[in-house]
Amino acid sequence: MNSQVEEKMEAQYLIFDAGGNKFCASLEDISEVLEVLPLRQVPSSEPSFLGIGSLRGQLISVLDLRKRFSLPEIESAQNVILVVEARHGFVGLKVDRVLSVASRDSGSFESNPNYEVSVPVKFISGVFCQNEEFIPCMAVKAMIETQKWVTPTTSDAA
Amino acid sequence: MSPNEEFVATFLDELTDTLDAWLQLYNEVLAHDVDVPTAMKTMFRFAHNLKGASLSVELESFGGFIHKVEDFVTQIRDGQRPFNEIEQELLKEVLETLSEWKMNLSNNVNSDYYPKSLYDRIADQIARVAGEKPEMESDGFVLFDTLDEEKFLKNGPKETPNSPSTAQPIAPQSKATGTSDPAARTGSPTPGPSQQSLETIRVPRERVEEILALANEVNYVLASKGAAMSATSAPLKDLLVSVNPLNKELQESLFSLLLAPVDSLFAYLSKTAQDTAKKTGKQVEVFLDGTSERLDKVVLEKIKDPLMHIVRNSVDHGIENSELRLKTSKGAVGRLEISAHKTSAGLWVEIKDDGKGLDREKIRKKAVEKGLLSASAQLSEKECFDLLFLPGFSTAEKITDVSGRGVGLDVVRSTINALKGKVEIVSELGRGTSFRLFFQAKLALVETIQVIHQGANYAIATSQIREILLVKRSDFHSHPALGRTLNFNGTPVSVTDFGVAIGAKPNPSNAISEFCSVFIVESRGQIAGVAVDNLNEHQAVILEQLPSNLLDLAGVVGTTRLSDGMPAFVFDLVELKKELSWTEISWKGKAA
Repeated sequence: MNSQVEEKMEAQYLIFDAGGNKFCASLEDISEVLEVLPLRQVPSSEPSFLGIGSLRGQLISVLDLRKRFSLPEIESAQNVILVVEARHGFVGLKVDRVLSVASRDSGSFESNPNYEVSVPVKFISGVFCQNEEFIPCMAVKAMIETQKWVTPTTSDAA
Repeated sequence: MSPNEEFVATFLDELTDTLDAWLQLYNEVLAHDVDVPTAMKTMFRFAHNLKGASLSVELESFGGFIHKVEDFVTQIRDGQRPFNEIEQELLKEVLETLSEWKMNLSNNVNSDYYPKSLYDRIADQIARVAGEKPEMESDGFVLFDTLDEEKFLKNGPKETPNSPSTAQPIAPQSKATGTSDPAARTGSPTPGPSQQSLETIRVPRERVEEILALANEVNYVLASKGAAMSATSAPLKDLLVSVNPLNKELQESLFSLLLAPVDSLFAYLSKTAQDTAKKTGKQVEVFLDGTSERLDKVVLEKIKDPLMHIVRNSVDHGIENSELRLKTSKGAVGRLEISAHKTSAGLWVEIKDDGKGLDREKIRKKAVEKGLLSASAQLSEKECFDLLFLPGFSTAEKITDVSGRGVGLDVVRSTINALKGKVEIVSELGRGTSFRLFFQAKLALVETIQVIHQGANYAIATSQIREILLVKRSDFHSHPALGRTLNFNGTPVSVTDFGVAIGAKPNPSNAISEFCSVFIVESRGQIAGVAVDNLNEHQAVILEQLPSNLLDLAGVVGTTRLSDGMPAFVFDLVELKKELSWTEISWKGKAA
């Protein structure tokens, strides 16, 4: 099982709270963690799309991950934005707070979860088990790819 | 010795420019828009410059090939040979070979080669006229044997890159390549007698972009800091009044350096259409429109293949053969329109045929067959045509030599998406199909007025704004059948709230002021009104491209950075076609 060994060496998870629930994401998918930044609202957008901001001069579209999955929005000074470099540019995911970074070795990873979680199972790439705790791992890039951003107004733009 | 990559990049630029011009000229001479001797004179110069350039990057086999082409062109130019079918066909092959070779070269800088069979045929033709045996050796010939050194001496700055009077970036490096460099052999710092009066320099694109970024920064500082300070200082205000337009001109001139007209691309597409028609035994007339519109050079280069693909498809699968066309009373000759249309957000390119159109039912069936669609799915027209962009989807009943191998439209779309553009299909069964591609202006300077509406900041492009009126809200006419209207010079203009038009969520905490500003927008003989709460300053802003997730925002043409440092959306009210109520301007005349 050579490939598994390789995976083990690389895999690290960023563990965070979203809506009072613990989640994790592959650290490879997260390019940085930002404090909450001022945003400009986007007209006729999906409710979870908070707005656009400037990340060192580059446009970043920020989603509220809690709203996205109908989780409670716990507003606090610890709120942060996880930055993902998506195909169409930077995307920020607002979460409650970041807890820790864990290497795969510190627990075990189950890639075919059958657990009932608050997030659709297609966005859960697996479950990270650490200290007898089960932390669903969110497939953030897949989630962003299928994200709807803009709600069409009364008509299509011609 | 392998040529230096940086040289080759410069050389590739030159090759691209030359080939485009060459192809255009070739089309012109075939269409009798230019006489043969004049065209050949120019073609000779193209070949000659390419030869020199290829030698300077040590692509010697290629240089040898192009040298032969040069000789061939010379014979036509000097009237030693006619410009008949043989010549036309050979030159066409040369152009095709060069285009192909250019592609290879851009993938692999070491691909110095020459097309032997074509070389042999050209050499053979030359020998027939010159009455000498072709001096061909199948391998390892060195171009310098056949080169006339004097030609280099005569030939101005292109071949004297180490001359101090030129600013080519290639200069310092080409010295390092040693004495085999033809440039080094000229040794003359003074331009030759045949030098053209227009001196050109080659500057890397990044350099222009850097300068442009500086000019943009100046614009931003003037707008954000200068405007605030000038409110309290009359001299400063005067200064800004004179500096702002200058800086704007500077920005625009820099922008324009990065753009090129679509004409040569369109000429190429036209030729592709004719070639395809010839191969498939069809008759097609091609109409070009908007050829002077300009696009970013990088984008132009990248969309060539996707557009060619669409053109081939249109001729091969769209347009019917003459027999079938006559049966459907369409006229034997098919019509293909290739047009460009500019908006403040970017450029639309449309490729429209009057062929058989797309059969939605057929597409649907095929998608179900391929398991891409459930049999019960309800599709809108747009959703249906979007299926064509899925990988491996092809509805052509037979695979032809020209197109229809099921590769293509998915690649077209991914290329367009990568350029932050979009592509859509409009088609009517029996009447024809139109491919519409949109490319965001990568660089645009837009005059805007910044507005505050319901507590949020926006920028509105002023290009189509006819007037801005300050209106007391109580002065609006309100009628259940007409909505809110305003008397504008006798025309009743329907006024839509800006927030409603763009679909912004209403902000209940926002107090409604007594007055509002109404933008009167004019488009195609119609006017509409848009009400905003407050106006802010007038400012020329740099339009930044929308990321693809935001392309469908109604009325938005891009983003820009406002003085608060945050990005803001730039709107063109004309783009809110369906969100506003439009009135014919001629209304007043009818009423009178």
